[in-house]
Amino acid sequence: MRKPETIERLYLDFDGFFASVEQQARPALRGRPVGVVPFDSTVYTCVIACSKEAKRHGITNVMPVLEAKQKCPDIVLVPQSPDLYRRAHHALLSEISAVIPVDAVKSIDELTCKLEPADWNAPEALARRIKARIRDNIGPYITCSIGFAANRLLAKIAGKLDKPDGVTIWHPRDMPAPLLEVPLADVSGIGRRLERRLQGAGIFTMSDLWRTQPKQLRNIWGNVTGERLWYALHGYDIQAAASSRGMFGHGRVLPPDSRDIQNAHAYSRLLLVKAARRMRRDGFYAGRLWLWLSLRSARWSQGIPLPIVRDDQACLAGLETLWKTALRELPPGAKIIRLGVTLLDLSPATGRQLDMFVNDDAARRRWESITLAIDRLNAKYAKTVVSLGPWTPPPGGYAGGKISYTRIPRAEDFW
Amino acid sequence: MTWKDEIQLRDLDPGQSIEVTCRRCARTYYKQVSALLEQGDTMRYAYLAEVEKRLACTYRGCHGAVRIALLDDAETEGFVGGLP
Repeated sequence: MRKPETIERLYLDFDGFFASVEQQARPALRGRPVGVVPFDSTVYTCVIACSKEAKRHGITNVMPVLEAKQKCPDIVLVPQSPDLYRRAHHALLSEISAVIPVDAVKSIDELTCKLEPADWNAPEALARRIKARIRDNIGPYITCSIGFAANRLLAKIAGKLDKPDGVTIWHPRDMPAPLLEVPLADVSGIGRRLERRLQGAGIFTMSDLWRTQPKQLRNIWGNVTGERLWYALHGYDIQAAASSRGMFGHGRVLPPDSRDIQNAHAYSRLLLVKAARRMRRDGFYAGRLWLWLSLRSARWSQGIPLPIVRDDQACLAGLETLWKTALRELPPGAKIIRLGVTLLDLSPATGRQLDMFVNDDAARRRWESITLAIDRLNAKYAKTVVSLGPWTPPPGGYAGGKISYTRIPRAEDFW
Repeated sequence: MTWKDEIQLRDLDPGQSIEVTCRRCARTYYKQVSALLEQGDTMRYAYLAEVEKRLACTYRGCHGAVRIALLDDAETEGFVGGLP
């Protein structure tokens, strides 16, 4: 494995991304402690992102709203605007790409770039160019912290040290001194459970971790991840391999007044159609459908095989079968707090594998044509104008438009 | 100077999508670069800021000015065991 002798990677992390985008877009929020919340209809939720002014009051991400209000009574709670964050992400990415090619987008607010040899000796100038570009063309309220190091992991850890709006450069010749100052919990991939496991093995600090051997970390992790982390921390050129898609799905927490079976059923249909649309867009068939329901003190989930399909009719027929079973097995009057649908066992949509025991090719071709026509109509009018059966969006909006580490929704996911 | 003033339509991959959002009615459409390139040399050599000015909302009766965005169709890579 190669061990770079100079800084080769840049890791850029936007500071309090959702909150700073809100402040950039809405002047009334500037300079005020802002907390972004999933819904504005309840206080029984958490702050999913906060501004630097809120952080100064001790507010952290994923803090319950009631606790945040106790710490900072003046906090302005803003319901999330996923479409705004998505648009900001694309605009920022375009501006950064004009300075340096983006190697990988890691999430909506994190990206990494491979440095050109010309930038190896002048990382500060590169960081200044990126920051100036964002400030001048997007706005001064969205700032980022940048780390430079031999590999992505070290650059990410370095970038976290000088937030907000900082630049940290960890040259291989200076390592491991600055790394040894970092708490174990600040290393991506070391959560509370792993930290306990490390403590059990006598590893309490970064210095302890640094002195281990690759195979020792492999044993502690129980898989190759620990060994990979060792090499990354020691400055080797190692990074996550690009993963392939394994499923399409959507989940939703239902508002307190919409937790009956009838509403849950309607929302699950909508979520499934949205998942199927994404699957078609990305060119896949699904061979299995899964429905899961979270009740107050129980969970119900079940899967069903699908005959390698991608049209809405087949997916919805599978869902109806699952609901029939759920209705038989769920207690009467069950309240469904959270639900999800997942299309699995994906295969490329280059050709449909026919089932020896199901003579459905003609029917499927017909339904695929109908579904394609529906997709085209919806694209033409830029909203859901046609759907198979009722179209009942859940309260709170943005169904199917959730932003996650592995997914940045497209505008059409909000239709 | 923003990225729209620096990139010509011909610089983009023909398979790339451009997201077109109406500033008036907020509807969003997707245009393939290849489809725009077929509109002739004036479009081919136009900078994206000029492309943005030439496009209009296609919704019946709207014809509002639009905002364009380049879509990175690649999936986010995510983290594997914490490694970015």
